[in-house]
Amino acid sequence: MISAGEESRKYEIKLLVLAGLYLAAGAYAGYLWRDGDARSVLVGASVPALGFLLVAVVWQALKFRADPFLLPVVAMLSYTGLVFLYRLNPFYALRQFFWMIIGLFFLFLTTRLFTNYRRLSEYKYIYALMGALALITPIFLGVEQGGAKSWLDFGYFHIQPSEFVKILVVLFLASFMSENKMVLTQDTEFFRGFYFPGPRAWGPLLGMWGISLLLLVFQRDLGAALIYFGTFLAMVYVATARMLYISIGVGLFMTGGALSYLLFDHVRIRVNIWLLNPYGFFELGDEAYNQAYQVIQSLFAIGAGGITGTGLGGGFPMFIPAVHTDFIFSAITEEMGLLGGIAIVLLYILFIFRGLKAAMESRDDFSKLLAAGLTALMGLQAFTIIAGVTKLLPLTGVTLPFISYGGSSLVANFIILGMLMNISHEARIHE
Amino acid sequence: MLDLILTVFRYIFLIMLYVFIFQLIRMMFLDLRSGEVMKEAVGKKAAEPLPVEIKPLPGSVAGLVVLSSGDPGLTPGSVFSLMPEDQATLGRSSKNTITMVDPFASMDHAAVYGSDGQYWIEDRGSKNGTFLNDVRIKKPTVLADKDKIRIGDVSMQFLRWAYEVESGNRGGTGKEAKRG
Repeated sequence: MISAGEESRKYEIKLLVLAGLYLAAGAYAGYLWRDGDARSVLVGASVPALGFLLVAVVWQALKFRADPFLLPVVAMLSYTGLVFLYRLNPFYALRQFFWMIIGLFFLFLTTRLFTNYRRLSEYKYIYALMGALALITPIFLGVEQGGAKSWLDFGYFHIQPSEFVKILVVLFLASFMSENKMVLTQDTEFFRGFYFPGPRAWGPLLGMWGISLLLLVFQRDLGAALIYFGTFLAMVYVATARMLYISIGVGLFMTGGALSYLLFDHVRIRVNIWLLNPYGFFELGDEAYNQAYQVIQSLFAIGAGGITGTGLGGGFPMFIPAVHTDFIFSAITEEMGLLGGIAIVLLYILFIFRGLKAAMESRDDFSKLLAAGLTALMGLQAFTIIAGVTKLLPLTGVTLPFISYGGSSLVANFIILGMLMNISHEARIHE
Repeated sequence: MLDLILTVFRYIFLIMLYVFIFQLIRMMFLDLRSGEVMKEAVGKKAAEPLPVEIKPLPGSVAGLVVLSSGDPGLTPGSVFSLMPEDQATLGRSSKNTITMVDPFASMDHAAVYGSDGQYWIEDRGSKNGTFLNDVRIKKPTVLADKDKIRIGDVSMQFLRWAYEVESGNRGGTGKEAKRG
């Protein structure tokens, strides 16, 4: 069985070599189109490719048994992001390049320092405190970027604490739920043919709903609210396997959504753009105009791509505001076509599959909940933004994991990957 | 010429994306298969856990012994004794004789009851089924000594340690089950 673990690391290295060839093709096409600086493109493409490979080789040497497919999927997503950022603006690609190296370093650090991750379940109220602090500080000390005041200024770079808070939220929920699983699962009252949970189970559900609403109101962060609450519901379902909680949770979220539609202008505008004809907002002016403009340009870009796309550099994605962060999926679909867009969605689906597999393989509740929660977080985030830019759902500004430009988001996602790898390692080592 | 090379590399970029996904799924499949082969080999080696020494309640004639369970409230080795003509209900609801907090157990999952000197097991319309010796039961079934019952992750063994004076004709299949 020792051979099995080493065998699977070989898959990882083979797939990373393939991913490296993909990056090379993309970088060369980008270089030809932009007629850029040959040396910087060469360094920019080969260093990340070798970095990913180095991590895999060191893992193999250390007999790390974690899932061999998560890292290659993440490599493909990161490379896609890097190539498209170079195509959009080489300055963004340069910064993303450095953040990717830092992210890889943090990934490796996570898999070395937190191998014994179960100890993390003991500090749940520290996570709650840290999370609250990280969310509150930007309100007082933060700088505003793109409408939301959620960045901290560190001179050379900005950090968005809310990207790291999501990890703390999942850690807190996993430790809380694994401790209180019995309370959540057992019935307390029987009423008209349904078993209803008691107040001890209601408490966290209502609390989480309240936090989501607060995020919505104070940070104007519709996307974060949706992702946090969705992750929470997914974890409740993993802990209890009871549809009743999910129906109640969805009902609560719908109520909250309906209320905020009635109360807040920015929510109403987004829902109206989604439901009504967005072109109608074209003539309106102000905020509504800008937001409708984004969605309309995104739809034009996706439509212009056709099946195989215009080819890297052949389209006009620069018409979309925020194309390098939230709307990068539209740029990818414009230049790699429907096929490229489907491939990206497939990569996320495979990532979710491996994440849930790690959850199913692990033995204890904390590991299961943590793996399922982190996977749900990643999946919901990808879904929310892809659905937003294709007008399947109202647009909510979140980054596309591993692809969008943004250091905090990239590093946080690499830490999440590291945690998943640790859980998977722990589950496989006992097999 | 340069345009041609650019076009070629644009297509290679897209094609490589699919080559990668194809190889990824192929290797996942290989990994899955090698994992299953290994699990089968391990499963054959694992010995059956023997129930611990049982101290039956006076007057009881049979019992259910927990072999393994994912529910910490239901420890392996615990015994539920059954009197003659007794009924025990199993499920997630706390109103049951045997409460099992298991994600695959229904609230009102199954029942074991004595009738005419025999013990029967009945599934009460559970969602994930009741398994008798790894076969899902569809109708009330007679339990024999050392039969294995599995509900979700909880597995139990039925043990018969005493027979009443007038022993029933064991093995009768035409018998109608009593309504539980």
